[in-house]
Amino acid sequence: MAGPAAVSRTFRHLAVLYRGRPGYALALRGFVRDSLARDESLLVAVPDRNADLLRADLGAESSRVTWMDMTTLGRNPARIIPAVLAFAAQYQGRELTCVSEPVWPGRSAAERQEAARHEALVNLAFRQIPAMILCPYDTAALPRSVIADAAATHPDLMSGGQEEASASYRDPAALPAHCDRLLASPPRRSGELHYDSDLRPVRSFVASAAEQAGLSASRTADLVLAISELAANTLRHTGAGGTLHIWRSAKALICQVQDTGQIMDPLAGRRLQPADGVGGKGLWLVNQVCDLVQTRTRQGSTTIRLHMRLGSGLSPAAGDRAASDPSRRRP
Amino acid sequence: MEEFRLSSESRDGVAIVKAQGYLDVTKRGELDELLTDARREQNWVILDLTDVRFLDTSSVAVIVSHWKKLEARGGKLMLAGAQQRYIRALWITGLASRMSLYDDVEKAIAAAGSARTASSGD
Repeated sequence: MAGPAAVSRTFRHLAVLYRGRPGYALALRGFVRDSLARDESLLVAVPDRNADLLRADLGAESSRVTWMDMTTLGRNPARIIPAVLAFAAQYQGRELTCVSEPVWPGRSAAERQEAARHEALVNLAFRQIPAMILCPYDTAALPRSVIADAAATHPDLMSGGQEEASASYRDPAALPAHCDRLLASPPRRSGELHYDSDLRPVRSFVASAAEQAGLSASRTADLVLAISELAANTLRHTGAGGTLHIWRSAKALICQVQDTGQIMDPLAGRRLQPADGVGGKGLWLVNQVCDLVQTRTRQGSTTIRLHMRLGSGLSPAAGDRAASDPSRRRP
Repeated sequence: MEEFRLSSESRDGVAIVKAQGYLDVTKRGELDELLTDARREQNWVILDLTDVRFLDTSSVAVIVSHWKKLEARGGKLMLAGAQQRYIRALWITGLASRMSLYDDVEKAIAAAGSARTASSGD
């Protein structure tokens, strides 16, 4: 591993443990000020209420920071890596520091699993990039299992101003075991549809379930597109068809696609997507429009479960979409 | 259910490919073929999406590859009638802000006509 290590010597992925809101700015201040002093590009993607603490601490300097609300960007944690890669590409040649806080109190167990998966994949996605990625974790408010996951997915830990190598970190791609357990079967009451050639029945099935569940017209269209993308992957990459399940949980409409393929690239759907690229954008798009995506893949079987929250009127994190709409020409 | 149809014609020195219904992975070969033929005939190609109610990323990839090939030889691929509520993939991928979009085929033809007149006047 001497070769890659030489390239990756500037990549750092550090979990910063802090105790509650009073300790927040103190834990991050040094890194942020250092980064600004070196004139790096600095991205702070944390929940807005925590961003307020840092902004107050930085004062006028805070205008030099790019801020993103993590509760929007990272609602689906699979959106974080491509967003940071896009930010890095924008400022190519400059050193990059990113403060990324993917877990906050109130996240569901499924969301916490995907956040831990995201953290493990950061070690793969950025190893060729001169970036310092700092991930604050609130030891006062988060379950102990979250802190254990953070230790397992970060090479280094910082706690109380002391930095040390994480004893439980092993391999860049290693995932805490509980994050990759098979998903429980869909409930018996779920709707089910098999497909093997025509995708129109798949789309109309999803559309009517989404309308019945009360999803807005635009989120329904997004979900129909997402499921059609997954079913298209089945047709393209497996010799067989697949099965679609749809059901409602208390908070979300859940759609699952299952087929006999295997996704070999752990970063599939999380790579940088140039708008004019012709490569596979299907999984990336699915990540952009859904509130949570759970993927379990092994030889001969892939299950992808999409969550769309109900009743909250949430729109996907692709906020740039609204901005790009007026670009449509009106001669 | 969405009915699929694909047709093409040439008008005023512009090739027009009209899609109807849906464009997904099962139709990408046909879309690719028709755009290839259109590109052989004309440097200016309009893809009419007015009656398309669904389009996926495999179709976006076909569109991008023809768009790039036309631009590389000084031609143009114009999209007509694409509506964001149906052709979402074009907006989510950010392509809508990079390609030439027109409300309908007539406006695309007019734009092509004036652009070609301007360039031949040089």
